[in-house]
Amino acid sequence: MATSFKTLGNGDIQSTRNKLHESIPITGSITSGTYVDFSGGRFPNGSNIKNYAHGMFQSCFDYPYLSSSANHIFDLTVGYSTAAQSLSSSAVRATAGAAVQMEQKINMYNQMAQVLVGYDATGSIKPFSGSAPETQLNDAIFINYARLLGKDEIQKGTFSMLVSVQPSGGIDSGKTGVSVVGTKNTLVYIQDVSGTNNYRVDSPAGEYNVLVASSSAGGAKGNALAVDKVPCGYIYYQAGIVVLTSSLFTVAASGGLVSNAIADSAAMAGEIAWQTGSNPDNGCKDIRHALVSSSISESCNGLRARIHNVSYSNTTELNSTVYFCRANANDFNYSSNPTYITASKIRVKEQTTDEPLSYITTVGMYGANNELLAVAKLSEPLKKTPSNEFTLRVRLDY
Amino acid sequence: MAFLDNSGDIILDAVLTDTGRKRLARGDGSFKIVKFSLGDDEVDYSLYRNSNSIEGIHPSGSAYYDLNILQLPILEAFTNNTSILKSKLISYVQNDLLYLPVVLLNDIMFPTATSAGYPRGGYLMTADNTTSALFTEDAYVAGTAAGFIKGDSITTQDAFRSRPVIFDQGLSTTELSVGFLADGDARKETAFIVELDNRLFDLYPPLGENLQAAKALPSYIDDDNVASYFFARNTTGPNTRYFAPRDSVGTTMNGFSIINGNGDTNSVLGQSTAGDSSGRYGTRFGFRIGASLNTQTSAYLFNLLGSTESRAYAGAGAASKNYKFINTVIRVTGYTTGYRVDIPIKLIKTYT
Repeated sequence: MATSFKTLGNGDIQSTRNKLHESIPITGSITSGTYVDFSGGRFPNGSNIKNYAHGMFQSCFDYPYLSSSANHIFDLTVGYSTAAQSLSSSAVRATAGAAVQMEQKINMYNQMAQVLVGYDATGSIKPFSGSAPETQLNDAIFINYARLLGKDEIQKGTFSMLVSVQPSGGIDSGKTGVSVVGTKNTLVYIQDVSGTNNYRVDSPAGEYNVLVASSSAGGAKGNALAVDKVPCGYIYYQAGIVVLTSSLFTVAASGGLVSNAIADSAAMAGEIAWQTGSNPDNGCKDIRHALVSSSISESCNGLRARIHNVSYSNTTELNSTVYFCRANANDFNYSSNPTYITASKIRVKEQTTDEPLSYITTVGMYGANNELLAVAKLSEPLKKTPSNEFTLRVRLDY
Repeated sequence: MAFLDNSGDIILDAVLTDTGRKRLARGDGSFKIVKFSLGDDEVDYSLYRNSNSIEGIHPSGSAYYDLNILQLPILEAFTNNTSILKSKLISYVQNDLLYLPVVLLNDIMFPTATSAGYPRGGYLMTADNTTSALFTEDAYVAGTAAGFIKGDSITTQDAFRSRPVIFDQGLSTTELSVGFLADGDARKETAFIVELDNRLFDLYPPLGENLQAAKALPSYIDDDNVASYFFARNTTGPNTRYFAPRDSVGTTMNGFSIINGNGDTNSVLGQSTAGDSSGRYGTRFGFRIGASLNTQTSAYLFNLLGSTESRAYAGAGAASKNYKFINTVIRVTGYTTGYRVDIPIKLIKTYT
């Protein structure tokens, strides 16, 4: 009997799983500077930066967000815990001025903590903390990378971020919005150094690891940090979230990680000014001051001004089914193409002893009721005769 | 040491068709690939430059016969399941075949349309009783309304009201004397797939009256409302009613018959000339089409898919009348031999 279909046997269908990685470089000029408003505006305004009426977070796009061409890159927010030593404590807050959006900042911290850290035995939300040498992280900056770029997860061991701890603020007040240019002595390199072989699995949000800050950036050894290669936050791979401690932008004398010498001048009085608006410090002396007395969006501006670049690789899990479509010697040597015959006589044969031949351009995958479910195309016609046979591996990705 | 030839193993990335996506979205296990076929939609075999070519044999020799075919560009995959794999490659055990079968619409037993406004080579079909009443039987008998089908009338069967659409399958050549394809011949079709717009038509057996209860059931209806019917010969059950038994006479759908070496005068295969008949008869297949309840009772689909015209159709009087119409096709494919034919149908509905 003639047939135009060939049944796939059990050995002809195989399932595979592969991980696909893409490198994602994010330049600091995207986060501050490139799309600054031109109608007299200056940093922190930018047509690619979206602030919301609720004020709980700030979104960064790769293009003015009102355009349909814009892609969401990440969201920024800040928060602090209700622990005694955090900024929510009145004692700590005393020197920082009147609190702004304190409840929202506590809510943000708790929301992120319950998703990323989980609950303790009593049902209370656990704070961000880990085993030594990390200590409890009470005042945090959260960077939530969009699923569009992060895909299934951030590839372990690939995340790096270069930030400035320039003490005099992020932006020169005379400029319209270019992020601060640090020297090697004011740059901090944040990296997922042990991600590939030393990650942790006790988070309800999946695998995570400790981020390490280093004074070494671009091969040049700086002296921005009081202690080199010190933990400064967490990266949650599947969630695509980076949590940074505010200590990263605080000098050691105030309990931070930055070298005291950085802000040793009389003008800085031992503080790293935190950029929150067009005015270089908007009245905020350092990040802890900003986290208390500035809104969430304003606090996020400070980080945007200090980002030099971010780089990571994403991961897409490709589950594939490979169908081995075997065209054996006696299979598919004739065609039902109307041009194959003229008055029922096969064009490509001159006499009965000639080999039949056909040309494959398409593979159709069918269900039991002959419904066409998937199609694969060849790049050029493939000659099929009784003298040859092919195994066409048709891959369907999910 | 040279490298081994690894060209026999080719990796292709497949895309889901719209039907495939629909099945996958259902999540009920109906997405299951169980077989494959190969196609050559883009290939024009008339470019093959052997001695059968009208351009003549290629001057550089047989190695260059298929040069033009191999240089043909290939289109990316369509995701519409009915727009791709229109011509499939076929497996025959024999390598010495010189003739392959075709499926042809039989326009002898049921002439196709030729009059103005009728779809050439196809059929004009009324959608409701009001429209059917405009057409007179006299015009049909006189032949001026050839290719006319009363789509609302499947309760009766006569020459005017409802006749089957018939297809002859076999070798249509004058180079072979008339004969039958044997039952075991791989070129004799044993099953047909009929595809039509499920919103417009219903399918019925070719013979008999009061067939509402005998309406054929589609194998599946895809996301574009194209219904696919599967009819296999030599099986028990109602589907056998769609195939004409050999040598049967006296019915609307006569089977192939050869009398004293003279071919079947109803056949469109080869030629039937007294003493000099030709062609090899395979299978005669037919069905009746009726207008769906939706098109009988509503103009919605006509407004959605069709257009309007004012025309004096042959058979419906000299005065022009207003019609809504939909142009569509019914596709018949030989399941094992792969050959397929599209029949144009124009569905009309009068309006004031």
